Amino acid sequence: MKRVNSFRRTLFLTLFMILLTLIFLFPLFWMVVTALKRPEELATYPISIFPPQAQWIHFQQVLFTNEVTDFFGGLRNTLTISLSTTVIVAISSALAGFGFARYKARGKNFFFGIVLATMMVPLIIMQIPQYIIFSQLGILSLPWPLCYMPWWLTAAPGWAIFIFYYRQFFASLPKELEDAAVIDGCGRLRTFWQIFMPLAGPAVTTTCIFAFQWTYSDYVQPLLYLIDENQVLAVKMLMDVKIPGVKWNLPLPPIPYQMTVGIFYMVPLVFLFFAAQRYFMQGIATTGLKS
Amino acid sequence: MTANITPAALQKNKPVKNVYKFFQREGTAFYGFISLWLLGFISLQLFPMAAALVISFTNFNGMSFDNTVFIGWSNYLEAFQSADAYYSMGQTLLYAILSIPLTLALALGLAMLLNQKLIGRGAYRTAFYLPTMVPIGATALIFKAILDSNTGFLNLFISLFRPNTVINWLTDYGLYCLVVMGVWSCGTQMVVFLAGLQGIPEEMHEAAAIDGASKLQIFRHVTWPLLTPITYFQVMLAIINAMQMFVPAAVLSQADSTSQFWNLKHSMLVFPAHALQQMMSSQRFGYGTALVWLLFIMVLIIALFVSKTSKYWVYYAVDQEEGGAKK
Repeated sequence: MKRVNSFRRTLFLTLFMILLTLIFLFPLFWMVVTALKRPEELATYPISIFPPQAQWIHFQQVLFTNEVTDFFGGLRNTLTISLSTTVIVAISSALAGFGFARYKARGKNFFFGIVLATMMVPLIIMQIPQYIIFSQLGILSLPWPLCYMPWWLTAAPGWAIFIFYYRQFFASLPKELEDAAVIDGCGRLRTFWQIFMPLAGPAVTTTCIFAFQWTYSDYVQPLLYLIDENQVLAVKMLMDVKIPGVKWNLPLPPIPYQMTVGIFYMVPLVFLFFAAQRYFMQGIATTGLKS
Repeated sequence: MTANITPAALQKNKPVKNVYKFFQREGTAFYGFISLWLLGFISLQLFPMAAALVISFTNFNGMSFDNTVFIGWSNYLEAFQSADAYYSMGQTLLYAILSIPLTLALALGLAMLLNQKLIGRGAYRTAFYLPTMVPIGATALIFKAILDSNTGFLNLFISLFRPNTVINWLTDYGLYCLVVMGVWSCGTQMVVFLAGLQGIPEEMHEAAAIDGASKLQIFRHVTWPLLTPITYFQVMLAIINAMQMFVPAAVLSQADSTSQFWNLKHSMLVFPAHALQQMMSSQRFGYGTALVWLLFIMVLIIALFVSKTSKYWVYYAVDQEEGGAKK
């Protein structure tokens, strides 16, 4: 009797989990089938889940022509921003985190308090004045790739959450490491770079994947700072997608094409996720990191 | 005068006023390592915030300072009399009140489901977490495709039972659409809860079960108390995030690829978006900045309030002998 019950329970639970999974994945499924429809097929009564004829040509048009949007231009810009920002932020946050973790100094707790406090301040309080500063300095009209200076400038001091994360990591390493390095005549910077950074592999990886994910997905800063051919995929996907062969005054929204661009846009992130799933889970579990 | 630095000279501990000694100090090293951050903090965070504070007392238009004058508290006074400000603050609060409990409850539920023996657990976890990896622009695009009044899946699906349903979800129920969108990506919170659940020793549940506690009682008196510190932390984060939410609202209300980012649908006009609209479309930077400061104060008040209530519901296992179960 008990066995039957446990079998039933397992069956019920499995079905329930599968149902939940389907609900969670449905929006992504709908994205794919929408991408494969013709723009005029979107509203058909009664509803057709699958397109009568899958328009794989959308994928070709997005990748191999510039009729829909300058996809590879956008991808190049997105990757330029996110990769450069990731490298800068991973190193600069480590520098500050190392300072907070390994040295005693007057005012240290005060400044660490400030690091924590900056995580709480709403971003838009700073974003708009920052925008004004950058535009007054003339940074926003620089040519590619200097137009990405706003990202580099905001990454160079390090991001508070990562400084915190590195500090926790570096503080957990033994004191002897430093002593040994100093005895061997190693300077402070060299101690940091050649002794501690190689040991900080997991922390660096976690920082990198989150920094990459956030800059890659960001929508507001590109919209504020960038124009035309410097624009990233996130913005292009929503604002700069055309139905090939159709000129101004679109009769139909180019939703299937936007979806196609969106799918290609998401591919690198999904790959990153499956490659580094462990680091995502660990990073979130230890600090509650959230974009 | 700095030429003759010898170990002997250093050992004598004389008041050596040389550069070498200065660089040897730990304090110097500390400030050296944080100098980049300090510089960035002052120039890119402290200064802009101070500037924003000053601007909120002026009629700055965002373009030039030529006709900018100080107008005292009038921006703030105007905000307290503006119907739009009240409406959008109401929207923001409604969003927070709906989305925080829903998201956290769902996240906790999913985490508890995943915290038991289950075939294919990793796959489910991946599926529930995957939505958080979808960039906000793409999320908005997908939900537009589902909720659109003419071409959206939802209306077409309802039309199967009630032909020709045309409900303007995004226009009439915009805020609820945003809540659903937020709840869909609850994966981050789920992972945090899951880590919390896995940190609870199995013996505690076993001990309670041996004492004859039902599953509900075990949850109520063992699992939940031990999870409250994590829940508290998540609630705080969620408040900060929900109160300043506007990107999803802006992206979701862009009707087509040509409309302006700052022109939100009225049903989704949350407070930060209203502030940005004042700055960007109405060119009222001073007023918009004042609104943002009011938002900041509002967040502080709510966070402070929640932290004051924490002693009534957050359980810290101070007394180790008593263990987790507190009756």
